[in-house]
Amino acid sequence: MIQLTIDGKAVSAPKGTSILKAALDHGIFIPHLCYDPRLERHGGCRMCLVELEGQSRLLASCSTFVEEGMQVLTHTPQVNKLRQTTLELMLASHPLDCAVCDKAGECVLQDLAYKYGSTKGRFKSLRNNAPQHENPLVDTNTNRCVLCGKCVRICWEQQGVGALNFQNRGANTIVATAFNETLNCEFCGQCMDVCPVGALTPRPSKHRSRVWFMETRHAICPFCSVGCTLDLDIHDQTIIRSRGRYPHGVNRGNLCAKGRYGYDFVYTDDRLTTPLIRREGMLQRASWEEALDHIAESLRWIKEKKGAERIGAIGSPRFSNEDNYMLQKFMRQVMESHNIDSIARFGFAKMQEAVEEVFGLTSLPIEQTAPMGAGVVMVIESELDTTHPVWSLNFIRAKHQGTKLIAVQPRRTKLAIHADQWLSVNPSTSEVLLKGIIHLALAQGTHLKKDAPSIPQFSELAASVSAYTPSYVASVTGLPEKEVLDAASLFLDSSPRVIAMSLGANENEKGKNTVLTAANLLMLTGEGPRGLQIPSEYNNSFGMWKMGVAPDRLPGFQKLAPGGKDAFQMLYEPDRISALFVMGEDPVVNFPNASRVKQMISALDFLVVQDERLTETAKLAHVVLPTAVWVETDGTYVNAADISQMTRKMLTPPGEAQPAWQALNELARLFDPSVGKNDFHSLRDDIARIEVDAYADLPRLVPTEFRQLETTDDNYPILMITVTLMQHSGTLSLASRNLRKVKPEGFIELSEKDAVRYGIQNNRFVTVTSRRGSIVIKAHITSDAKPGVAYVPIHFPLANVNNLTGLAHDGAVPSCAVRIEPISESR
Amino acid sequence: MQIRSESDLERVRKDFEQRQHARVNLLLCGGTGCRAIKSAAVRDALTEELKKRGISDVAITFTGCNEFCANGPTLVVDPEGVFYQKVKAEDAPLIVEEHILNNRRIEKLMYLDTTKKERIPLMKDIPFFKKQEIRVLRNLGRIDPFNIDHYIARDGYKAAAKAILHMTPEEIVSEVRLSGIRGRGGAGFLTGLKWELCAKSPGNLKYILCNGDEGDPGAFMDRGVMESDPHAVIEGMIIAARAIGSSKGYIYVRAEYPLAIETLEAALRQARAYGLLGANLFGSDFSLDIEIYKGAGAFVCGEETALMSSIEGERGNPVPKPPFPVYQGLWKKPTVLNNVETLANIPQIILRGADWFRGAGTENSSGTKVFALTGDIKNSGLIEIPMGIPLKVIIEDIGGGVPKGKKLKAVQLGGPSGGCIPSDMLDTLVTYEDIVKTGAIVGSGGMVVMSDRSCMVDVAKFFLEFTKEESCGKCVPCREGTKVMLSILEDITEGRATLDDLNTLEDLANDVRKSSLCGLGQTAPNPVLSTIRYFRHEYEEHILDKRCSTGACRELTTFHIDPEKCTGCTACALKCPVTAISGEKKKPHHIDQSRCITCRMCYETCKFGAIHIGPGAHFAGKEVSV
Repeated sequence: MIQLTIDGKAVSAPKGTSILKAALDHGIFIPHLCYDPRLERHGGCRMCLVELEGQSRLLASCSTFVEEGMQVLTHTPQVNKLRQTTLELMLASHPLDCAVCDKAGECVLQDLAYKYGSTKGRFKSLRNNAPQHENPLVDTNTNRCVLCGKCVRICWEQQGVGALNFQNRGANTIVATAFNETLNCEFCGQCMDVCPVGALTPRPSKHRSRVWFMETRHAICPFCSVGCTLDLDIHDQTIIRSRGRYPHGVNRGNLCAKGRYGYDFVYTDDRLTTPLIRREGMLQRASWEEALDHIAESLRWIKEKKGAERIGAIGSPRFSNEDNYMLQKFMRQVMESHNIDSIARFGFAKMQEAVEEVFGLTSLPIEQTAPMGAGVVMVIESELDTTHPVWSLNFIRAKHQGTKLIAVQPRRTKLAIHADQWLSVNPSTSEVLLKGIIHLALAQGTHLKKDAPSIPQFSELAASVSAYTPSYVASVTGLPEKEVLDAASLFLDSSPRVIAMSLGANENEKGKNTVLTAANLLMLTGEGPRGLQIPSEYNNSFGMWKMGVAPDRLPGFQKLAPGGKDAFQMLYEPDRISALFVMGEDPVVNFPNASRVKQMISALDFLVVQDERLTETAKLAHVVLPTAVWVETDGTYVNAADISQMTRKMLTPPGEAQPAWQALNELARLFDPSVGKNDFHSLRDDIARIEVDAYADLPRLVPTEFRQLETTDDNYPILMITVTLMQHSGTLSLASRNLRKVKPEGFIELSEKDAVRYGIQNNRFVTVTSRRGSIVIKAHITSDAKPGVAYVPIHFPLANVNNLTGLAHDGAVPSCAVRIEPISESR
Repeated sequence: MQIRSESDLERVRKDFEQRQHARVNLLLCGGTGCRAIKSAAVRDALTEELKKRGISDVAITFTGCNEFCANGPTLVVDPEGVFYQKVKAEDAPLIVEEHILNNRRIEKLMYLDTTKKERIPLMKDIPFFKKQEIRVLRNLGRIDPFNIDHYIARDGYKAAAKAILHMTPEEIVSEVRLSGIRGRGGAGFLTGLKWELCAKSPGNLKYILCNGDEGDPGAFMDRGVMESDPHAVIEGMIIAARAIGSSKGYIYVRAEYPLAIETLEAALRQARAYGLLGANLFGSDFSLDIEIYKGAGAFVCGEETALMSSIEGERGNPVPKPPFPVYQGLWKKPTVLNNVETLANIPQIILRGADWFRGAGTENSSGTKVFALTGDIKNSGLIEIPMGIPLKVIIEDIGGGVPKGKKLKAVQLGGPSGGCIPSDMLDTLVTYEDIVKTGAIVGSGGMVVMSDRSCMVDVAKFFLEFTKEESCGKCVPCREGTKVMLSILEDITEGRATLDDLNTLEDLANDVRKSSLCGLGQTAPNPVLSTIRYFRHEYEEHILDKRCSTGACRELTTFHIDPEKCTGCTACALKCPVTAISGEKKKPHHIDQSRCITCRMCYETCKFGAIHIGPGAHFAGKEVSV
């Protein structure tokens, strides 16, 4: 630690700390404009100049590191005078926009001018009045820009995108996009958060409220499982704006496009405001009393006549712990059925099973700060920057700090661009690559953990990878053999090692076997479960799982055998259930092989859907219950790192919408008055009393065979990969008008070569057919796609992508082969 | 062949000497300046003429810059040392006939001393050359820069051999430190100290960089060295690399010097061919290769950290220091950046020793310095002088004083980072310390002589236009401050300013100097502060009287003919481009103010001093607010 004094106060700071940071950490304010603790030093605004006792030289405190014995003076007459002049100079080029600028009241330039500026402006005004580009999400006003460079730096250094940069030189410098084209980036909006003036502001919030009329409340983001803290600015029961504030939250003040712009999904016109009951074939408004009575009656009848095992429920990875806990309590305690499951069956559940089989753990949350500090991280066929954007920032930061990044990715993603090694494998074959690395590790022997041979099933595993020689791996993955060997060395020679991937319900490049193989590799090399970083999918996937929304798990991951029916059995095998309660889910759109699901659901005797809008599944229901969501109700959500966070109620739900747990509580009491009337806090107490069962079994290796659900052939020559877009999350974000401005509709992306081969034109509709169904969708032709592979985002209900997809519940990769034809020529 | 030892080097030298059969060597200047006035045509004409006359024992060497640029194209007849100036292609037959064949020197091509009114035939007697101390510029005008053997013949690469084979890196550093040589690019930092700090920095990968960006307008010292003696730079870099432990070097040359790029590229190729660059120099374990990196038109890239950013492929923005480049420079590795002239000095320091170097100059400013002497001076070109001589010697003895009819007003040193020394301070000694006391800086060596025809406010404005344009834009004081200072100067020179504005200008200049991030911003206000310090009356005249007494600021100028002095010679009327002057022969003439465009032709033409400059037309007779 270095000892110094700042304004006479004794301060200590570690080596490599800037004087400015040391001062701010000790409560000593030094004015600054171009400094941000997340970014490299810039030293351009000159507001932070300080003097050293006894020296004539002035130093920029943001760029100078502390040294032993320094005596820093922060507010001498000399530096104050210089600050005044610097502000005068900035204001001479700054438009007098305060009256119409949204930044007023939280503008750094305004605040500094108030405190350090002079009341006279001696200089002639030399302002710019350049016309501005229009943009639906990021409002830019280059005339107000003070050229601090923070937007440029955060976009490249932290986000790894680099959509903005300086152009020209000297007083002609502006911040602009490449070739001055319209801004077309991720729209994470971090640039707006760091901008100290009103040069970059969120367009949806423009001119809607002065900052001093807004109240800031914290909420946890409702989209992915990172669980970012959003600072919501609310005025008159309306969310005007969502921001991140460094260093708040597990996200440390960083947000992605969804957290920043997606909040308006609560305001759509199509929110359900009253319960609906199907009468004479049509859904009609009803009262809560009528609706709950009708449900109770119907379920009671089915339970008596057909049995409890014919009743099922689907829980929601979006709804809170309280909602999911109440659902499983209703099913188990009142309906006496264990037939409860969720969309996680197709994704996260596979990971949970794999983790239990190999490591013997009932759950494996990620580490919020992974992979920082790792020697190497390998990302397996996952676009983490779209599924878990703020978490993926760690990967870029880790790379800057020396971690080796290996991206195993068919197409060129952001992480692939930054990677130390990018392996453009054939889709779904990363499992083969991993087996190849295990093969090499066993052959070389030097990287194995000491007692590896004594791990149960070691010899079976060794046998299962004996055929995965580098040349075999090269032939299957399509990589040159040298790349396979290089990747293996890079991975095995570094330490500690991390393997990361996403395993979304709608992803079809990986299966349970992929996870098992990765876990095997980590076990053999002594990394253990900490090396496996697979985040849960949505904002409360982990919580939902913890609350026992699974046929073979009680709350707290307690195993239940024999357990109830899972989603495969309930919705894909004919005539297994007669009644279904669906909470916060849209199986007819979201579940794979959706047309089959629709078939099954249409055959049900009784369907209840509890959701915030009339989904496709709800349209088939007998009773629909309107729910209050997110900030309309108190709720607890657990993120991928098993951190529980609460969002409090800050808005009134529309109409008669209620929190789901409350309606379920009422329903339960209709069956069994002994079920207590819960309020939110008593529910939380119940949940707090859950005992978590961490261990299930002893760790062992699990050999697997690489299998795909299906492969391409002449009839279905293209492999279709489902992907997540950065600006969307499941189907929920589609309700956000802001996010629809960027990506409003579905499309299928294919390579130029394939376009020529199959006669496809850009932006025209095409028919896409798989062995399960057929859809009509727009085609986008791009140079990023590999020939023979097409990419489809899964978010758009109208695109019906799940009519094409299939299921694999034996560990295989749920690959989907299709053919693409222009509309006029479909067979 | 590959030079793998000192004896190999000696053999190359001897072989070359033995091949020289010419009894007369015509050293014709092929530097950029002389090429611009067609010295290549002179070369071709001479070649043809010699061939025509069947003369085979006369060689023509197309050398680099001869230094006496104002009088080019120049031709020196060796070994006599006869100096011919302003040679044209048409003179070729005359030269061959008279001088070569008949040994008769040609008067009309000789240097004319206008004061003594006599022709001086020998170069060494010409005052311009006599008072110089030629060390760094020793090969200029004497060798073909495209032929490495010429350089080797004049002791080239001997110092590199000595440094690599007979000295340790610590001994090299020590010798350079003892010499006291200071960075010739302008900062004047002790070169030996810089090398020592870098040598001590840990790490195996270090860089040696040569700063050939030379951005100061009016400075061409480095250009002269790079075009005419590129190997001196390379040899200097080899010795520097050996001292600090580097095996990779870059020469950053501004793109506006295409001839220098050519000579350097050829020099690097030829050095590599001889094994003087590459692996295991002189058979030792020391390897070095050098690459050229071209600039792209930014003055700010002459600043060391901006230069390094540029080589890294980034914008040429300076980076805050500390850490200094000797610890973390190019790609964050320990780096030494030296100026061209500094490096060109190194071989001789090693060969002849620190004491020899100290034989010229003063205690704290040892050695010699090259200046580019230009402006209102009779003899302009590159000069090399021992530090410590008074400015007077340069201006009067070497430069020959201002041309007839003009009076010396000031000498501007250091380009856009420098200041003016008024004519009554010519006794100032040319050392780093003494010049700094006057408010100017030695800088990289640009020295512009200004006569009473120069308006000092205009001079400040000229330099501010330059620095404002070249500011990188990263820091507020420089980016906005130069813009505001320039706008105030424009107000002053166009009659819109008040005295308050002058105070604001001075105050702002001081603040910009103290708060800017890099040397560009920190020194951009110097011309302003220096001219205000010594020529405040001119500023006040512009502001209060709305008059520019030199006529340079056209809004504040009107020209009138003094009827008492006018002889009616009509010279001015004939020159006037808009026929604004009327009058009968031998009678006082008159300027029609409504036609006059204030171009100053009449003022320049009149031999009787009858044209006088009055205040700006708009302001005549108006009340002026202060």
